[in-house]
Amino acid sequence: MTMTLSPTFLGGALAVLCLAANPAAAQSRATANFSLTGQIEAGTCAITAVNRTMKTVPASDFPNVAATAGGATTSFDTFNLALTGCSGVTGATITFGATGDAADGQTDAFKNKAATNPAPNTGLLLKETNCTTGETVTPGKTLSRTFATATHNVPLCAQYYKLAGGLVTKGAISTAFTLTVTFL
Amino acid sequence: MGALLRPLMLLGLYLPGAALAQAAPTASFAMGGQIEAGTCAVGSVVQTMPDVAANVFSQNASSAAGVPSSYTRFVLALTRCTGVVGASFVMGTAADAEPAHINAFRNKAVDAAPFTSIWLKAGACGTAGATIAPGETISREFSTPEYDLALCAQYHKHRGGLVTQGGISTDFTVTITYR
Repeated sequence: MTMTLSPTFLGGALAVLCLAANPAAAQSRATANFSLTGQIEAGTCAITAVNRTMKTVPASDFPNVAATAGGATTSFDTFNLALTGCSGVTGATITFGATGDAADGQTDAFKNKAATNPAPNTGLLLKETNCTTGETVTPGKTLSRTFATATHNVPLCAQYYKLAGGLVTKGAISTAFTLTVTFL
Repeated sequence: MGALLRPLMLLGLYLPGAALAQAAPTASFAMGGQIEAGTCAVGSVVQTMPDVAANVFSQNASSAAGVPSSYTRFVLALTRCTGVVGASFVMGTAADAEPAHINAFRNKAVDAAPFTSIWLKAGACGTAGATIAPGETISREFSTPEYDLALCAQYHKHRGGLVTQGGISTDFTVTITYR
């Protein structure tokens, strides 16, 4: 039997072929940039407020010359500023108050801010490590420390200080200021 | 294809929020104490008073009086004072007083001359001087390295009898509080 493909049948065959060939056609590629940006800031430590009650000393422990400035060795008070629970920290800068916390006319000593009966001609001197050879921590000074441990102590020493201009007599002596800490 | 790209582009957004500055933590810092008054050096007072005859005392058994010929001026010297603006002096205690005359110090001599005591005054023994009774506190203001508390002692006859021969002495503790 001779088989003749009618146009209708032929068209149907082509259509079948086209459908079969379609998945093999070339596909264009799609691309997109993928960008995630941020910043990791330094970790922190816990800082406990410092509240030191220093020794009572007699006024006779200060220089007995009005024009002379000097500390009272009997008042030396050594302690640590403790940074604890540090994580993600490689260091810190610590600013001790501000220049406005200095005694009148002074740059080295902190002002005696006792509200009641302040001992005349007195201030407080703060030093690093020890009161004998330590560098003075002046009001507003920033100390920088590098450490990568969970706990870091900043050793300090405070002492009563006689200012030039008069003699020291009985009274209260105290100061207060704010520590500002930036972690690295 | 457009529908396929859209979600990828959303993931590519820039996320800058984490770069904001960190607020610096702060902590309070307080320290202080008390300065007490300074001190002076003070030495013991040992005064030898003049010998006097019993007849220089009042010959009236019921009278009480001092003896001018026994006037002894001296000072309680404070030296090397620093950080001192004054002091109070407690001159013995009431127990140091003569029971029959509480303004005078008791004669504590072993062989005590009867009816005698020692009368202490500030400054001078005459009427200008103020009596310092046993246990009395006197106060002085000074801010010098040295200060002399001027005193004057005299023998005293108290009521109850006549004075006859014997020793006459007293001693007591001065308690000094500096300011």
